[in-house]
Amino acid sequence: MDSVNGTPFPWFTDAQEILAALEELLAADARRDALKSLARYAALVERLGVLAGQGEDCIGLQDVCMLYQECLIQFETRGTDLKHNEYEQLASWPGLVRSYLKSPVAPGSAAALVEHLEAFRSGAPLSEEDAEMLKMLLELPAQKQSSAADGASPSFGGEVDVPSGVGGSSMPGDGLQGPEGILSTHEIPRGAQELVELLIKELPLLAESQARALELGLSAATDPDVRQQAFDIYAEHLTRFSDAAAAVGFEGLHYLCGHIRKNVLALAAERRVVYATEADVLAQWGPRVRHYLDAPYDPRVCSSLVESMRSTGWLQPLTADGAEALLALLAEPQFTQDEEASLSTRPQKVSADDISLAVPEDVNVELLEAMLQELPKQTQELSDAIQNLARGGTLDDVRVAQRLAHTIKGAGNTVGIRGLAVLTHHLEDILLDLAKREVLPSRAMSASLLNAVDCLEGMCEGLIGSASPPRDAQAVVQEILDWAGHIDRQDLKEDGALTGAAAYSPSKPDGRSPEVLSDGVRESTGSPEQSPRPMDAMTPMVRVPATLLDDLLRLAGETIILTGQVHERLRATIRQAHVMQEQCTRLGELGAELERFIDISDLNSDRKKPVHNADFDPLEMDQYSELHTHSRILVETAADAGAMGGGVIESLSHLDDMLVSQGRLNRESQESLLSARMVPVKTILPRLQRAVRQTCRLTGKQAEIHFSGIETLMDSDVLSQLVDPLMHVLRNAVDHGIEAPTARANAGKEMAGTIRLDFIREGNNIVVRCTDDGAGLDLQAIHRKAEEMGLVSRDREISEEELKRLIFKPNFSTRSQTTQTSGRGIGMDVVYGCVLNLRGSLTVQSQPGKGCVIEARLPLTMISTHALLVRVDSHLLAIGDRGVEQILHGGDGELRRFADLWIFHVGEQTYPVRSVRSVLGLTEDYPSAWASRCPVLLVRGEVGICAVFVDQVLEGRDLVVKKLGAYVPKLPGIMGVTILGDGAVVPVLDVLELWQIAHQKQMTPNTAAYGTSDRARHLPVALVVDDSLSARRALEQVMADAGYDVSAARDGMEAVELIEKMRPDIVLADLEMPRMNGIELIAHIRAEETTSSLPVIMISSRSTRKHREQAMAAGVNVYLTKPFSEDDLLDHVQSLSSSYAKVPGAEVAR
Amino acid sequence: MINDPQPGATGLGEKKWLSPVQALTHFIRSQQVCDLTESSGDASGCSASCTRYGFRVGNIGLLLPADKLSEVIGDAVIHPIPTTPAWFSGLINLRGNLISVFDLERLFGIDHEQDKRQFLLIVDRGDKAVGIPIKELPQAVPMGRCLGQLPVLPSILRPHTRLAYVHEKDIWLDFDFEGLFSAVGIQMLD
Repeated sequence: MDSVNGTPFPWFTDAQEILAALEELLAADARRDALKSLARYAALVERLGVLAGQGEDCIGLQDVCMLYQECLIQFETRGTDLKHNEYEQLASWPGLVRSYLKSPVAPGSAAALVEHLEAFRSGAPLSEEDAEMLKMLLELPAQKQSSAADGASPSFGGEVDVPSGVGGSSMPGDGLQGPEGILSTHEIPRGAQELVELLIKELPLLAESQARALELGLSAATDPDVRQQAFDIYAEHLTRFSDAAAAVGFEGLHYLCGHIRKNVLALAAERRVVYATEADVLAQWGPRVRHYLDAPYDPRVCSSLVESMRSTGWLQPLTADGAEALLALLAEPQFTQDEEASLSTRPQKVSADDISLAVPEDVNVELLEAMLQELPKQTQELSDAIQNLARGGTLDDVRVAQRLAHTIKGAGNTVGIRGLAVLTHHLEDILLDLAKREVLPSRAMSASLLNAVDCLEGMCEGLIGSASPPRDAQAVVQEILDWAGHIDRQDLKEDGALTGAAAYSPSKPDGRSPEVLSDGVRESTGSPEQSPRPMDAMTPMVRVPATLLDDLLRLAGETIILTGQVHERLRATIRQAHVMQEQCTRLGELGAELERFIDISDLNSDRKKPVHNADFDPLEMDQYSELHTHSRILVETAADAGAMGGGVIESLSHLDDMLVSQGRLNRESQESLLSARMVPVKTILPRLQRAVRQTCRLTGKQAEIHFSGIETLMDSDVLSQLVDPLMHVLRNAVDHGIEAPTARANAGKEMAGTIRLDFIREGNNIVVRCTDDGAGLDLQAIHRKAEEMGLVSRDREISEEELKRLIFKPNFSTRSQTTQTSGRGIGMDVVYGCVLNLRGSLTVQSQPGKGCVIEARLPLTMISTHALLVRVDSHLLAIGDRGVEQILHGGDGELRRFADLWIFHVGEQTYPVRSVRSVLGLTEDYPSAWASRCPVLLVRGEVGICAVFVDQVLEGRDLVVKKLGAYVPKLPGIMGVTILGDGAVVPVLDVLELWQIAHQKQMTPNTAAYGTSDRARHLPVALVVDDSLSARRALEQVMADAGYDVSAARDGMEAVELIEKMRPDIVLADLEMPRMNGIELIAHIRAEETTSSLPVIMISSRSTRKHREQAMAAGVNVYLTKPFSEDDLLDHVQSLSSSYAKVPGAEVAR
Repeated sequence: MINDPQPGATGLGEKKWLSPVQALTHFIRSQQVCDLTESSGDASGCSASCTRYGFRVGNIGLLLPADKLSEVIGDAVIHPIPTTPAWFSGLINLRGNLISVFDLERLFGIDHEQDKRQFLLIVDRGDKAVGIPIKELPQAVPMGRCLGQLPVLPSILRPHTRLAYVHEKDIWLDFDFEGLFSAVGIQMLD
């Protein structure tokens, strides 16, 4: 220290001389030759730097001089004059150095030097880090001075906000207690694990820096400056690590590192050889921190780490208070979750919002369309992958499934459909975990995953509109969420099963263990070649509205009709041309004959005529008159006309050929359009498989389902209407047909039942046959039930065929109790009605103990049908060929009267005669002479064959059957109408339906009440009122399955309008709705005389007593709260419906 | 529906307000709507400057729906359909479209002279198109005064009649087209 000048630097005087020389140098040259002075300036700066380096604590100034010198050399090398500001900077630098040297303690003196340097080095600026480091080094003497004045160790109070009490004397012997000795079971959250791993990776780098510093520190030969620099660098690395620890959330580690850094800097400031004890504690802290990062919640680890910081080996060991505070911080790291981690914070419960399939109002329509186009294929592939896993599978299936779940999640998030996104998000997490741990799912998990993909497929169908959203979505998503939660808490063993402490049993309605249910279904599609595959990804697809296809089909049909009309006219014209040509030929012949007559007459008259030319005899020279000329012209004209006619006929023939070609093209267009509506049957297989799986799960049975003919094409309308009936049939096959595994084993059958679903094309029909190997129909139980219901009397014999057909009666079931699957007697009734609506027929065969075969015969397409064009009296009709087995000649048999009925006797068979004449309002009179000439159609119905007499069968052809218009309902016995080639509109009759109606009128009153014709039986009408689309659809599906004809309204106002029009049998209404809420709606219903006793069930999420009382006071019959049990709802519906009687006059004919 | 008046305003003059229960159970009948439209002045369908087309079925004048296309064709060939009521004349083929023809005179029970139909009025398009035999061409009808009360109408027509207008002593009915024919269609199954 230079006590004279009051500066801590003893070499201050020498430095003063250098600085004075610098100032003189610049003043003397006065910028004239500043460039030449740069070299001398640089030399002086170098001397100053060497001088500073000789001091023990002036490294900072030495570095400043070195950096300054570099700039000066660059300026000299540059070769251009100094700029004014550069000159000014040069001139001011010595003063700054002098101020610093005089008083390094003065605030800002070090900073001023650094700032000056940064300004001077604008072309090659210092990094922030270097500037900071330089400033620190320049402040070293100041700190040392102040700490020497205070008598305390140097510390960096401003840099680390350490808890009070850290630093100072240690208090050995203070044993640190862990938090009550309880082993914490906390784990680092998944979102922070990656960051912790990054932190751990920094430790080796820090250890390297530490090792270098210790190596230099322990060696006496090391230059003190170098030693100090090494420690400074190590301290810098410690700062980085400390900051990183703070960023992750290890506040305790941050403080710890700060304390270590303080010790290191203090050690470095002493510029001496490091003691062995000091080196030991430095070497040990790294592994302890590593251990801490592995188990931050372990109190023993925390205690050990803190205890190590209190060792006397440290220059500044931790105080007791500091240790206690540090321990608390170490034991409870506050991890910072990044955005992704915060988003994936998993809830515990699934809300209704989490399964919502509502499409946002501001959705991008194109994105939505694109998603809807790809979603079925993606969900199908995901389902296939999960099913593979359920059957064993490989890790590839896990990865495929995870990728698909991720894709669907992304699509759901992009479009904004929360239900899709939430389910696939949790599903993806589960699959990711499986893929990461490289394990396959356990049986329990596989069952849940199967549920999830079934639900996902249901959601997909709900979005597309082909089915209602899945009703059990909330339960399924909760199940998946629970699995994902277990993964978060790492409750799973290596094999994917749950640890003992966290055994998981997803709640099921029947409480069955999932292990039993997950083996419910093994599915096969017959041969591997026939395995159902999703739509071919390579075929470009275009979504086209069905109405557009219908329009195109109509136009194609009209074109064919017009072409046919043109063709007929053309043929008529050709015929006329032929006739005309014949006339021309005839005319030519007449002309020739006329010529002959003229010639003959001339000959006779020649003897009397004077001879004009005496040289020739009249026979030697023809003599022509005007008559000859005209007759000749006539003959030639006739010949020309004939030739022209021939030309016209030839042209018309060519035109005919062209029209034939055009007709062929038109038919091809029509067939292509028809085929656009045709889809392979395999598109509905996933839903059918799902139905079997779900029923197996619900009933605890096992079944294999096999398909054949899945490539058969069907009209998309027919197929979409066939799905629900087929699902009913399959559910029935599992529930009623297939026995329980034990019963099957006792009967010597395989544990798993077999169901076959065959699709067979027969001409223009498709046969769908469902065969099971279950117990078959219990005919005795059916007979008993029929007697109970009054369908048969005890003393009347009923055939087996009639008994079997009783299962198609409404409300018929042999089950005494209703379950979710069956028992209400509505399934087969609905199936039968659907098949009839599709103009099909349904038969059932059964063998006790061996199984049941249900066969539906349906038209391939509803657009066209094969029919016979017949004439009855003067009326032209078309008769659908459904059931037509034979066409006989009336003379082949005998028409006779028997007990007031007409019968047709042919061979050994006798057939009742069914009349088409009565349909046309004609008398039923069959004169025998007429009957013997007429064609007779033999038509097979459900109870036998009947004979239908017509006047004439013109032809059989494929006809496009059209409806009678939006306002004309389906008429009994009328399939529709068709337009013939000449534009005539011809009704297409369904003789079987006409016959069934007539047959029904002859049945007993009891049986008539349970008529088989869907036309004679009115379906009860239910009105569903709810402003929520998903709730409305779900309820519609429930009521439709219950056998109701369902209408829906979005609010009370709409409901009022519908009630006025259609008079429902029951109303199911929500409470809170826009425009008119449930209470107001019910008040209106009760106020009207015609609806005052209409049953109303209110379904609401409001479960308070107040709401319930208000609703009951308004007139609600039953108040249900969501979520509700479907069984309960349907029980209420049944009991209310049976007691409701409509007000006379309020009935609206349907 | 009654428009909500300003608080404290009488709105409808001397009309007294209904109690909430009465309001819920009482829907506005056509008379009230007429009163409203008269008192409020210009309301849609009641302006003197509004003209619509109407056609006659017997002595009943019906206004064509303003939002539907209509055309008149010569008496086309009507193909009867068996098992249908007598007032359902049948179907015609109009440019490849099948159009149901309803004889409203028969439906309404109006005495008619057979074979005096000259025209077929086609209302609406597509499968909702309906054909109605008429004797006279539709005419333009300036909307005049609303009748306070509907006249006696056929039972099938009355529930679907909204308003009745008077123009030069002729009464013209504004009716719900789709509602009427939907009800007619339902009646076909009786």
